[in-house]
This record gives sequence, structure tokens and C-alpha cells, in this order.
Amino acid sequence: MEKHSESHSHHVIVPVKSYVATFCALLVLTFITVLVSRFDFGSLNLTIALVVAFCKASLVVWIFMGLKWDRGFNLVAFVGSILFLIIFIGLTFSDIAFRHYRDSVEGEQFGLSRPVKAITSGHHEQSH
Amino acid sequence: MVHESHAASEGSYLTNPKGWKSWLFTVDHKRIGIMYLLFIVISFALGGFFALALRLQLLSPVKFLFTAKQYNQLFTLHGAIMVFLFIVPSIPASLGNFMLPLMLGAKDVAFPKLNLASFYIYVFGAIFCVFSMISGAADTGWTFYTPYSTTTDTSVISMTLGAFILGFSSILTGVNFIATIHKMRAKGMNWFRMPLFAWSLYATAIIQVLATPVLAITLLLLILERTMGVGIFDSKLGGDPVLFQHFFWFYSHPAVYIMILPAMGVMSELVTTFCRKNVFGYTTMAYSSIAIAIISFLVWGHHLFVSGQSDNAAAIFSILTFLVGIPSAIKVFNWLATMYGGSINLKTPFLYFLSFIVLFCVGGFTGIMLGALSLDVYFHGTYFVVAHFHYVMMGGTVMAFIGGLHYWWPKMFGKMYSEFWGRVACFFIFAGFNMVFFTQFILGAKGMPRRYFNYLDQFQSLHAFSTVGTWVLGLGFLIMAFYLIDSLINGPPAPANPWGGMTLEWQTQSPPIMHNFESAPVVDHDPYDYKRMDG
Amino acid sequence: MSNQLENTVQHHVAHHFDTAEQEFTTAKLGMWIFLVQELLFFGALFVAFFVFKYLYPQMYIEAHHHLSWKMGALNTVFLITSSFTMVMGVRSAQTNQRRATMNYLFATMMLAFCFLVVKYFEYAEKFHHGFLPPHFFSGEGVHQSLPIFFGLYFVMTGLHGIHVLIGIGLIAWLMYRSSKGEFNSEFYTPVEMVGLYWHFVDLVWIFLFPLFYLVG
Repeated sequence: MEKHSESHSHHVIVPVKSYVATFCALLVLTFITVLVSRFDFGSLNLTIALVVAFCKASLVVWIFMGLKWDRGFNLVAFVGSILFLIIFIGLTFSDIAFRHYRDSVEGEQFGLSRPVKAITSGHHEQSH
Repeated sequence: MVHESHAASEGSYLTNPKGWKSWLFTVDHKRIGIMYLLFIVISFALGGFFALALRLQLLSPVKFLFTAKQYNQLFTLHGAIMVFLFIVPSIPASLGNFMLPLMLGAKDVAFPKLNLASFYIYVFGAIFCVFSMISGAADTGWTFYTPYSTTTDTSVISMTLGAFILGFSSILTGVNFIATIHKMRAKGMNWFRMPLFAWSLYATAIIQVLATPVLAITLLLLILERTMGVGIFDSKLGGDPVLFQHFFWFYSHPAVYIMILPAMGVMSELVTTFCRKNVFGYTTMAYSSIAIAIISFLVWGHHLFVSGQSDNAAAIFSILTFLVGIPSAIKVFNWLATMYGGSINLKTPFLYFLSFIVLFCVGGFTGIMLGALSLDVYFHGTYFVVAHFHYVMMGGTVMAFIGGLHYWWPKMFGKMYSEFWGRVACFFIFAGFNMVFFTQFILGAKGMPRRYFNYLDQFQSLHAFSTVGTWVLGLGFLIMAFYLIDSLINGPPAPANPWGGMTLEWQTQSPPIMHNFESAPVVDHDPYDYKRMDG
Repeated sequence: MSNQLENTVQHHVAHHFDTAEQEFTTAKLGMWIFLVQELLFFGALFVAFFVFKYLYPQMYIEAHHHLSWKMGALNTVFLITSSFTMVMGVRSAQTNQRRATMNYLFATMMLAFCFLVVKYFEYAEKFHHGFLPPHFFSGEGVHQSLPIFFGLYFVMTGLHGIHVLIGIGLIAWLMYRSSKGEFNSEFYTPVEMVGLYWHFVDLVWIFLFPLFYLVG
């Protein structure tokens, strides 16, 4: 059996200071993300929040969950699953983000508009 | 290779240990596989019963046996039971559970207790589905599309809760198989010495783990929508019912590959054994399984061509859909090339292999037709789609399931079945199947819409022919049930390797001992190296 | 050190594995694959979150002002700290410090309870103002699609909360086994696995917090 080909991760005992440093970094990043959210950067708000969250998540996965010492298939599986999530988001948005085009064409022809818009005035709500 | 004397002293997994408790609490993958097999066959019979009933209604163009609502409930039950209780777990959970560790030369799957847990989760989920059946069966179709599923007064919640629970059974089986294949292979069995059935189960497990949680959350959202409201599928609040279809098909399209990939694996085992030849293009076979698994996540939008998704999305999904044809065609060509020049042994399992090739090709080609955006606008929602789906799922997966069942029957139960009756049943099933579903291609092309309990008079002769086909099909399954049960009682004992197979499961007794092998096997050759065995 | 070696239980490798190493790496692989399915499970909900954020950006901005970022931040600190204590608990098990293992596990559990207590106050506040899922929604707002935000909020934080509850149960189970002396440097697989699970729960919150409370 191929048992020796995988990592010997469970013999790795990580120094306490690595964990403490990670912990402090997570607290600092939390502080940063809260601080930044007190200011309005417009459409950048989401990007900033996601970048910081991604950094925090990477720290947790890399150090606390030990992927740094694990590597191998565990890393492939976890990173791969994120790719599939991106596929899910991406292809769903290939519909959601482009539906207004069809709506406007059909709307002109048949006097129809997208149901979600008709009732709740989706994109018009900026005017409030 | 086989030590009969020792086998006699330890006894087969079927009788050692004895007692019903030893079955209920077993962690032996073989026993769990057999228990799955029992439940899966019962589900198949139940789903088949509903199919017979709804086809009976369609003998007549007007109301005949059932009301419109009862008819809707019948096809929902038929679909939901066949998909969630039968076909998703069919090959992986029964044949896969039994054979995977044997093929890898392992003593068990990686997590035997988890394996038993997934079986009981399956039973638990099945109870909810049965409860839905007797408490005002759901009438939404097995796809549970919103907004109808959030407003109908039938018992949608217990059916979706059942499917939700069954999903976790499927996920845990997938987790188990991935870990088993990674960690439990026999000494010397590297990845490219694995039987192709193991490869296909690996590809299946990838989909099970990545896609099934999305189904779980989708059905949970539907349940919550009905109980407390979530709003995201509710257009009154600005939600989007089409989003439900995105969520549902992100699972359910890959799910049809959960159904067909293990079938393809069984096919590869059958062709190599009954042609006594190495599988042509072993490596491409292995990689094409993985390719199918990955591409299957990119195509779900072809179910939404007429649901109002954006034109961009429809075009993208249509192009991506064609990609699935490539690895599937590679497999078909490789199977045919394997047969070329082989010494073909036309035993019952191989007859099912041949049926599979024919029916799967018809199903596959019509799938490419339906994947084409412009054609689908016409065919969508007609019997053409129904026929396509059944050609792939029943003509593909069910044929492979039966073929695999006959192939491994002697190994699983240690008994031989009647070859003559096997061939008779196969003939009835093949003929009946084509009567039922080829007719539906014609019906669909003529514009007969699906999911209606009545229809125009002009379609009656075709509908009647299709219904008669279900009786021929049913007769085939009835014959099979008789001779298989008879073989358990009266069948002659099976030798360890009745077909001359090369893979590891044939190297142990029939039926295997509890720990599978007398001594841990060591592999030093390719899985289908017949030249080495014969010469 | 005196308390560490009394009443220890020797772990036996399960019959179908050849070595403890194989058993450990297999369990770990299985756990990671399980987390992969968890990621897709929550991931689908995040897809829904982004879809409606894209459709109704102004509604999200209005809605997130009804959530208290202070409570969210407090809970973030609780969970991050609990992740730290969890990882220290695993490390103590690896280094045969049984009392430290118990203490760290207990701390993790207490922090998880703190998280739930804060969550309780948040939920109570939402109930009070009627910011509930659509069927029970009675809150006041400018945007008609406002209930969708709270539908998603309750589903996502609710499922996360259930995961926290399960985590508490698992940690209690670890403490029970640890008190019987089952874990040591040769065998600490369950501690490591629950640790991975717990970090994943933290991971989900790391995304929930900014998306719901800060950006909206």
C-alpha cells in the first residue's frame, strides 16, 4: 500500500509562536476590516472585505488547519473545491448578469419586463 | 490461488458470523453492499410499478384510470424514487461497495462504520420518501421546480427532506470511496493498475462530494421557503424562481454522471472479461472518466434553455454541453476497439454490454441534439426529452447495473443462474425497452408534450404501442426475478472465477471470506493483462 | 507531568489498516474531503447571497444597517480565539499534555457558547423589530425585497449556528474521551479531525461577518 508516499504530517509539531503569530494576525486583520468598513469606498467596499476575508481564511487553512505541512491531495482537494465554487458563481452570473439584455429586447417587443424588476423596481431603487 | 480447505474452515461472508443482528450491525462492506442491493431492487420495483401505472393511463387519450392530479403524483413518485432511491445509489452503493475493496485488494473500505452509517441514512431518507407517498404524494415532478413546489398543497416537504437525507448518504459514500482508493490499494497496485471500475467510482465520488451538497442546500432552501420563507425563489419579493433551476441543475446535471459513470466502469470490466483482451486505451479510459466528472459541472444550463436565462448563458452552456460528447465517445470507441479481434464469449452479462452500447449511443446522440440550443427550443418539454433521458439512464445505467449484477452474481452469492433464462430475459428487456422509448422519440418529434395525462387522439396508436412495450419490459424483469431467486435456492455452486476474469475479486473464493483474501494480494501487472495469464 | 500517564488507553489500529500512520492519514484525507462538501454546502448559499447583492445593491446597504457590526465583530473575535485554543488543544494532545488538552478544549467550548449567547441577543433583537424571514417579516424598510436579505441572513447564520452547536457536541465528546486518557502523541486522530471541523466553522464565519455586517 502506498502509505509511505503521503506526508508524515502528524509528526510535525508546530511551535507555539507560529500559532500565536497567526492568532494575532487574524485579530489585526479583523480590526482592519472593521476599520475600513467605517469609510465608504463605493464599489470597492466588497472587494476590500473579500480580500481581507480571503487573507484571514488562508491563514486559518494554511497554519491552523495545517495544510502547510500537509500538502498533497488534501491541498488539491480543498483548492479544487474552491475552483468548482467559482465555476458555480461564474456560470450563474453568465445568466443573472446578462438577463437584462434579453429583458429589454423582449420588453420593447411585447411590453414585458423582467418579473423581479416589475414588482420591486430592482435597479431603479438607486433613486431612493 | 484459492485455498478451498481454508475457505471451508472460515466460511463465506454470508454465513460467518450468523444471525440477523450480525447483519444489521455489520461493518463488512460486502454485507452492506448486499443490504443496499436489497433496498435498491425494492425501490426499482416500486418505481417500475408507478411507471406501469402511468403508462396504463396513457392507453387512452382521455381520463381513464387516474385524475390529472393523480397522474402528476404518479410521475413524480416514479421520477423521485427512480432517481433518488434507485439509480443514484444503484451501482456505486451496491456493486461498488461490494467490489471496490475486493478489486483494490483491501480488507474493507477506508471507513467501515461510516459505510454502515450511510446505509442507515439511506434507509432513513427512504422512510421520508415513502411517507410522502402515503401522505398526499408530491405532484411537482422529481425536479421540484419553484414556484409550483412552494405553493402546491401536496407533501413536498417530506419528499424533499427524504431526498435531502439521501443526499448525505451519497456524499458519505463518495467520501469513503475517495479515501479507499487513495489509501487502501494493495501493494503494487498503483493508480494505473487499478481496474477501470475503480476509476469510474473515483470519478463518481468526486461528483458526489462536490455536487450533492448543493442539492442538499437547494432542497433545504425549498423546505425553508415553504415553512418560513427565504424569498430568494419568490418573485413577489423580487426573488428569482429561475435561480432554483440553476441551483437544482448544478447538482442534478452532474448527478446524471453519478448515474452513468459507474455504469461505464462496469462496461469496461465486462468487455475485457468477455473478450479476453486488455481494454483498448486503458489510460484514456481512466482519464475520460475524470474528464466527464469535471465537464459535467459546466453544462447544467442546458436544462434552462427555455426557462428565461440570458442568451449569453444559453450559448455558453450549449457549447460546453458538446464537450461532454468527447470523453463519452472516447469510451464507446475504446469498447468497440476492445471487442475487435477479441475472443468474444456471448454470456448474459455481455448481452447487456451490447444492449448498453446500442442504447447508450442512441441516448448520447439525441443528447447532443438536445444540447444544441436551436433544436432544444423545439424539443424541450416533449417526449423526445423523456425518451433521451430513459435511453441514457435506463438503456445505459440500468443495463449496466443488470449486466454487472449478472457478472458478479456468482461472486456475491456463490451460485450460478440459468444462462438460458438470462438470455430470454435480456431479449424481452431489450425489445420491450425499445418499444417503450423509441416510440417516445417519435411522439416527441411529433410534438407530444411531456407530463400530460391526456393527449390528442392522433397520438393514441403510438402511446398504446409504448404502453404495450412496458408490459414486455415488465415481463423481462419478472423472468429475471424468478431465475435469480431460483439460483439462490437451486443454483449450482459457482467456481471462484467463472468467467476467467483478471481483476482481484476473482482471485478469492465465491462468495468471498469475511476478510476478503487469505493473504494480502500483491499486484505486479496491469489489471487486464490477459496475454500474461494465457501465455 | 504526574497526571499525564495514569489510566492511559492504548489505541488499536483498526483491522483493515496496516499501520497507525495509514490509519491517521486516511482519516485526515476523509476529513478534508468532508470539508470539501461542507465548502460547497455553504458555498451555494454564498452564490445566492451574491446574486441578490448584484440585483439589489441598495437594499443590501439598507438591510445591513439593521445588523450590529459590533456584535458581529465580537463574535468574530470569539471564534478566532476559539480556533486558536483549538489548535493549542491539538498541539497539547500531540505533546502528551493531557491537562492542557482538557483546558484548551474547555476554553474552546466556552468561547463557542459565548458566540451563541451573542447570537441569541442578535436574533432576539431581530425578532423584536420583525426583521425575520419573509413569512414572518414585519420590519419597516424602504425596499420591498428587504425580507430576502433576512431570509438569507437567518438561513446562513442559522446553519452556521447549527454547525457551532454540533462542534460543541464534538468537543464535549473529545473531552470525555480525553478524560479517559485515550489521546496521546501516538494517537490523537479525533482531536485533529474535530479541530479541522472547528476551523472550518471559523472559516465560514470569516466570510459571513464582513459580507453581512460590514458591506451589506
